[in-house]
Amino acid sequence: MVAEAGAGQAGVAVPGAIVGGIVIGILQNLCGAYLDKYFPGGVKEVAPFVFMVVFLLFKPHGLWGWERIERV
Amino acid sequence: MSTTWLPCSVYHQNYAQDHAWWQTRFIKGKMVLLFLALFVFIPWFADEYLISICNLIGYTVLGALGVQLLIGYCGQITLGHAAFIAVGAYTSTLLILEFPWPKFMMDFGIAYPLSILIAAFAAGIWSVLFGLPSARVKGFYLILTTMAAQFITVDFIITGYVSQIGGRGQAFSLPPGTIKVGPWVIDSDLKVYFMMLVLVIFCVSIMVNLLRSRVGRAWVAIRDNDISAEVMGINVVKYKLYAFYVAGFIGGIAGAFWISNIAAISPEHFPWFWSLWLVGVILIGGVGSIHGTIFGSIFMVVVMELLQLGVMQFMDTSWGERLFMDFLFLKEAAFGLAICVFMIFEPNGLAYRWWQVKNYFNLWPFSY
Repeated sequence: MVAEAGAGQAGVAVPGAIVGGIVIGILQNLCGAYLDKYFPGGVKEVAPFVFMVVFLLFKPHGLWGWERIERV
Repeated sequence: MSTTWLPCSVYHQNYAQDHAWWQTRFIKGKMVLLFLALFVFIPWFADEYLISICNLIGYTVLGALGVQLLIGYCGQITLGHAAFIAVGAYTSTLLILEFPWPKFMMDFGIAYPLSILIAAFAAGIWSVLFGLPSARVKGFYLILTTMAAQFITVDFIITGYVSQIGGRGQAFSLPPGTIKVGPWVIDSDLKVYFMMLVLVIFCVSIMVNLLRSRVGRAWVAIRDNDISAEVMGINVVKYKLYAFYVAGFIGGIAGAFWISNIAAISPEHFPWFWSLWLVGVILIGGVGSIHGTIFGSIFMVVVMELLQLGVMQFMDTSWGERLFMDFLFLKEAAFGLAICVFMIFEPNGLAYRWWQVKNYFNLWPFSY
């Protein structure tokens, strides 16, 4: 999930993973800290997945991902 | 891979014969024998343990049918199917326990079948909701979004909210006698077996009829090359969402069936490992064929039961006893090993072997 959040298909795979890891980690803990009182527990595990789904809707190939040009 | 071979002197004279499901008398005879074997011989001769294994096989088949449709026929890799089975199970349970059914419905046993249908619809709609990312992402990222569906649904929504409805805590249990289908109360494994057969035949017939139609051809086109499918004029997003809906529908039926087998429901019944297990089942059975779903389910359940029996033989030794305690880990290891072995030696699965054997007899004495 970290690799997905940051990496693309080529080029910037490793820096993308680093940035993705930092973002996911910070987001997970902040969400867990602030949102746990509104929901009956378990926000910490689910927040990265929710963020990932929303993120993929806007950038389906990752943060710096290059779109693979498919030929028929 | 699945063509109908007609024997030499069989000619069809009208369309009804041509697109019948069972086209020769031999096939009709085989189907009658299969029907007799499933409905008469197995319940007559098998004991409770074998019937419970058959129920587990049926549940795996129902779950794997949805995954087979998404992966094998539509090309959308999904790792979150247990979530939709869970949605079906919880909807059905909550409808039976909480909904104020009119008394005649509970007495005549209409409540549970109706709850199966409503649960299937709900699971289908939930599956479409989590299939919406498939309009945007493909391949690896879709695997992660469906995995997100699994975790969000089971670990968050069901554990947090749905389990608390009615104030029961983490697990629901259905008192015996609440599950009635018509005049029969489903309380023994044998009755669950007959219900399982009806549901499996129903779901398999839904699947094969859809696959034979325009919708099925669209799905196969999307699987093979979705860019070409879009160019040819198939509305790819609509058919992808439709695939997610039907897969969720069948998963909902699987979940609603499962509660009659277990009569209790908790989020631990639908872990992510079960989603993975269903994908493994169709990999072993053969991706892209209904026979593969059934063979894969039978193989996995039987192998796991044989493994358990094998480990029980060594219960006297110290390492045997510890192996039995850690049987879950052994099961996971065996699952991984089975997938590895099948990917190396038989990548097309058990259905391919079945097809080869069948063709050997079809074409005998010729070799090809």
